[in-house]
Amino acid sequence: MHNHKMIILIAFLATIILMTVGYSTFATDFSIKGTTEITGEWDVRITNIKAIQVPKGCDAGTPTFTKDSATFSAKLNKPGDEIIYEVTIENLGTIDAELQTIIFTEEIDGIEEINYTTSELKKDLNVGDKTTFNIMVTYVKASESIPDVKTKTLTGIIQYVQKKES
Amino acid sequence: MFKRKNLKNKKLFFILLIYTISHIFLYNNGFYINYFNPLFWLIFLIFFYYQDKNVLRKKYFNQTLIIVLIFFIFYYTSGFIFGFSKSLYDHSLINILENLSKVILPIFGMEIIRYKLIKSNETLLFRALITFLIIISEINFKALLLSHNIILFQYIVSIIIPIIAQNILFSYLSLNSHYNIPIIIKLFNEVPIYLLRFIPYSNWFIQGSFSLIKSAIYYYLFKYFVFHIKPIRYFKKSSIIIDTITLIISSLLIIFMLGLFKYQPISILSNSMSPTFKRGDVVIYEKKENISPKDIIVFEYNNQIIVHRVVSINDSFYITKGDANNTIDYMKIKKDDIKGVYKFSIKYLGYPSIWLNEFLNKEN
Repeated sequence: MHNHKMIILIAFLATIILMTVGYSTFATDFSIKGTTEITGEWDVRITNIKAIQVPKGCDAGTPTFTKDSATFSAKLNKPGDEIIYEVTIENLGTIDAELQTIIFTEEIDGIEEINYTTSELKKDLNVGDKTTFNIMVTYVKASESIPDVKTKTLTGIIQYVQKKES
Repeated sequence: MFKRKNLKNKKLFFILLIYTISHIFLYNNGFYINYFNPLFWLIFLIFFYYQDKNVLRKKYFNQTLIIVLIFFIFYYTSGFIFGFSKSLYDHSLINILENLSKVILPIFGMEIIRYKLIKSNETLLFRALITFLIIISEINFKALLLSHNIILFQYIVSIIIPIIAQNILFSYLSLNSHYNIPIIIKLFNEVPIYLLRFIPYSNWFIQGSFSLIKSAIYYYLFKYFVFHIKPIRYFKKSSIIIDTITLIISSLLIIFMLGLFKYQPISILSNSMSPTFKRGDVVIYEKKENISPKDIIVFEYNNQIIVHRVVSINDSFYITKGDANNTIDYMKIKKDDIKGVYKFSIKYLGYPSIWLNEFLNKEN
């Protein structure tokens, strides 16, 4: 019995150390402002992002995602070029969800030559469902001068909540 | 495998086995989750009640209630440190009832099965098997398989480790008492989230580490202060001392990592500040707002934590540079992005972080 207890104790300490090592590696927000919206029951999250249209001469980079954010870096060559990214959101939990908030905000100081448009998102996301939406990045017109700022950030907030009277 | 004349427990074992297997494949099926699962447990509980009307024993009830209430108050007041967020669950009566039926019925059913089976066989292997099956039945495998690299690590820390820790605890409590204790603890763990409109903020590390520590504290309190298997003075002194020290050190380590003290650690993953500190060192920084030129600051930029030296300060932003870099950093750091000021570093302590980071980013 004493040996079993020692094994559990060592496993406990090893787990704590592994967790703290992981936290010091992957914590991007040490001030704990964020919230984990994933539990066993509630688990609506981004599960993929990929470029589905990349014109010749353009570079869609390697888009990445976390459970609640998707990041990409698009390089466009000439006016009229348009890269389309497809983002997948899935309900992996056990609670039916519905879209409550969707806000996309373009960076105010970003260059005018780049334009973002997003497709509509499916409102209801029941248990096991998945949905995709597209983000189109377009080079709308030729630069008249060399801009100081060469990037433009798009910030999106997509909030699902429990579906009413499900 | 089972004691003689114990056909009922054999049936319970097969119910658990079939339930676990079906749960692996049907966890994300709407019909199964919304209708079949609650109904299955409702029928089970009605049937079980007619078989054994002595279901609600009150042994250790008061002590358990006091302990879970203290934990609940502690959990909720943690919101005053970390902040509160609005619940994602709907609070209409019909949805509350639906949510609770999905949670409460399985809690009662599963804990009764656990208790009956764990008490039916004295071998450690069998008890471990029962605990393992229950753990498997609580894991969302689709979510696990769709997580990869860093998300997988965070999922394991925040969801899987708490499930394992809690189930080991509940098996221990069932073995030494009755199923009412795990039921009360589980109800207090899982029901309030559906009833409260505001819940304390947490991140994956808080979620995982607090759950693990909580399970350890429950074990400690029940073992030494509630069960009274033998009076506390008869426990080996070394056993109490080891358990107490382990709990205190673990709790302090987690509090330190969360930055609830004045100082906080961070692992260094690059050589940009060499020779002041190098890749693989751990930097301890102090949380303070007054920054002077030449201070080494810890700041957040584009979801990354960076530790560089301040080379100039303007009214609204700071310009930084790595000691080993030839040029100043291109980003302008705002005051809100600064986490603190470097105090000292510990050599080589951050290497496990580097190994973990390289391992989890191997396929990216």
